[in-house]
Amino acid sequence: MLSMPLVQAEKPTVEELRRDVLAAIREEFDMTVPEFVKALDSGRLSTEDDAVHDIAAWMRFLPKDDPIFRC
Amino acid sequence: MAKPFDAVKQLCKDLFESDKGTPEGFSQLLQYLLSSTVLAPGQSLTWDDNDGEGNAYISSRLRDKVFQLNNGQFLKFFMHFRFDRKTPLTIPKSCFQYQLDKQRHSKQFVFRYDYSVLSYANHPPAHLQINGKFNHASITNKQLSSIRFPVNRPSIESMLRFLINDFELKPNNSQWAQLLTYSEDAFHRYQAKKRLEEK
Repeated sequence: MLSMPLVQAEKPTVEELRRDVLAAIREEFDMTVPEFVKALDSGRLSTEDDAVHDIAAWMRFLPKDDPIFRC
Repeated sequence: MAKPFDAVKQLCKDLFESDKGTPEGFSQLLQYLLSSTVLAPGQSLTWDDNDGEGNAYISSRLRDKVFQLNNGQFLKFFMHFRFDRKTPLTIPKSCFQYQLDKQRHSKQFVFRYDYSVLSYANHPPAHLQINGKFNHASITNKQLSSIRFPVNRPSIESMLRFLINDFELKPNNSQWAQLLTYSEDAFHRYQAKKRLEEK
């Protein structure tokens, strides 16, 4: 049995993360980022839902003043 | 290039036997454990640690939703953790779900382990869900898949063994069993030491 070559865990760049967050919110909820944040704050979306949880978790790693929070 | 077992030993030493532990090192250790056992070739964990509040997160890329396994099935795995040189490793939330499609919120999961320090209403903090059917229909009105069996928090190593031993995934590395034992033992020693220090 062969040993697999070592794969490195990856840290995304801010640009990659921004692109992924935007795409995931659009594809899975058909929302903009501010709409998603508002739905989270109002309790309309819950992080008990895996799809919401994963996206919300990754959003934490974007800068607080990232332009996607304004668009 | 270092061999996986050598790399795992070095990471365990840095993380659990010295003060060199970093979120990156912990993420890399999980990467090696998963790559050496059940992940499909080329699958990599994504991690980040700079939310400004000491939190770190590991999962698949958002665009990929879940990890592809070497038997063609899928794994949803995420872990929220805190770890730096001042604070011991803590894991406030984690999920390990074996599933048959690549949806983030899959109805076709086989089993799922969840842990959360902030447990939701009526959910045990650590629980197991199994997507199947009861042999005795009258036992409860609930579907088996929606029942959360309370469990102790299993190690990632024990869940990888579970996939290999009981779901017959073929391990990627011939030293997989020793590698998991080494890492699990190192973590248990670290955990015991930290508990003693807290007393």
